[in-house]
Amino acid sequence: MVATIVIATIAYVSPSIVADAYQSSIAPIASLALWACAILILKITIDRPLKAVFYQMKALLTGHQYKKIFTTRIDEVGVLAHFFNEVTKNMEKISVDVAEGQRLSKEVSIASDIQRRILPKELPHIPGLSIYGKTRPASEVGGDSFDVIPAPNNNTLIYVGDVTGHGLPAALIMVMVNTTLRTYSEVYANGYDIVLNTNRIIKSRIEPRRFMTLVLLRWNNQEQRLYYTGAGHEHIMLYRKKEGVCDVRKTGGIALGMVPDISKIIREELIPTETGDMVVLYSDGIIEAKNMQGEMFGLNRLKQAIEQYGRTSTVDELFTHISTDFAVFVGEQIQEDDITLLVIQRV
Amino acid sequence: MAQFKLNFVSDVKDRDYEVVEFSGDLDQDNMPESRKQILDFVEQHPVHTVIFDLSKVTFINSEGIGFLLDIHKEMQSRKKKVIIAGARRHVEEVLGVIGLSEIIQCVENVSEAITQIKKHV
Repeated sequence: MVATIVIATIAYVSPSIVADAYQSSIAPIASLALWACAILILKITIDRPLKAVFYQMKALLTGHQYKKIFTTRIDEVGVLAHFFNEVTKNMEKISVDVAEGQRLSKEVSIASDIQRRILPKELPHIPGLSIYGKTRPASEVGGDSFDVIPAPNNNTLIYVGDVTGHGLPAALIMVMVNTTLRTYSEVYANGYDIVLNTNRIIKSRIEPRRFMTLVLLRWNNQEQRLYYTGAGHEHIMLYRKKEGVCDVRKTGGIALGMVPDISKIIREELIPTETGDMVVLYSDGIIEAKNMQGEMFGLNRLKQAIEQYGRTSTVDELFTHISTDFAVFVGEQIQEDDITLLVIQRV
Repeated sequence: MAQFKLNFVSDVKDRDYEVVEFSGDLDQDNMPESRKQILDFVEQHPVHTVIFDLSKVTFINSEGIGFLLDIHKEMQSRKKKVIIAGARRHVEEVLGVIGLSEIIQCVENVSEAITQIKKHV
């Protein structure tokens, strides 16, 4: 501002001063002094501040440490300084967000690795049964899980579980439950005690609004009998080969993590089966999956698929048939929930 | 997709109970605002039983159950009782499958809930 006024004054005044003072000997000295002042003022008010701004800009561009520019000016130099401060402030925020995003992404990817290790890749061979199943998490880590656990006393435990929500918190609870079930499977010979004690342990360790639905099957190869213990999970689909019909059974009980003592709410019950019969376990992600028109896949479609293909299919063939029907139904619609399907046949 | 809403019934002139109406889709477990409203209401109206009227709830899933579960635990710690009334068929089914109905009394409608309350007073 000052500089502008000075320059304008000089420009205006100069010619007349020069003309008037042409005859005087002080003219050249005065002129020189005036110019020197002008240059000094320009240097102080424009050149130096600009250099300061350019210094910080150069530092930023060459990857060196830069500093915020302090100024109270609102002229062109001030605008430049404020612009620089604003741009660098936003840049800093974005780079913090990116770093945070990268860190989270790395954590999720590690958790995903851990989860993949825990969920069975290859199902163990179980005498008396043929089993095929898969879980597909909606994001990198999920709350759905299943496992096949060989246990003492000719028992094999098979379960499908679904923790509320999905993502990292659900996956952590799923891992905790899997570990606890496996541990108790070595201690207790029946589903009731395994589920009862697993619930007791995890109840105190999870948030009040979270819980895990579960259905646990127990196959005893010596008795040749299949039992189930329900903990608030979806129905069991029992395909009876001789009759060619699919029974839909409620599993009862209460989900894990809701109350500390479920001794009076859960039961282990027998599922009468014959050779060739199939049991299909699933999570609600399949039933509640919607297509582009907003329709749900639903229990009936699952039942129909089982009845249509159950007679002539092996476990992996039935799995494929159901999966195909499901994929055709949902089409391009994005799935927001984890999906689990497990097919078991008594052989 | 119906917006979830709460309505605190204000003309219940009874010292034994209050009524909270839920409506819309109950499909989230993390609703701190609603949670606070309910707990504040219970604080301001020190009755023994709160009736959760679910007759206008159109949809519920496990997240919604989680929300109810959380509130119920808070109520229990304050030595209060919850009765769920008027759940529609779909909602009743979900409550039954997951097992919430094993730990919270569920009745057909608000009148039935009041009858139950008066029986035990």
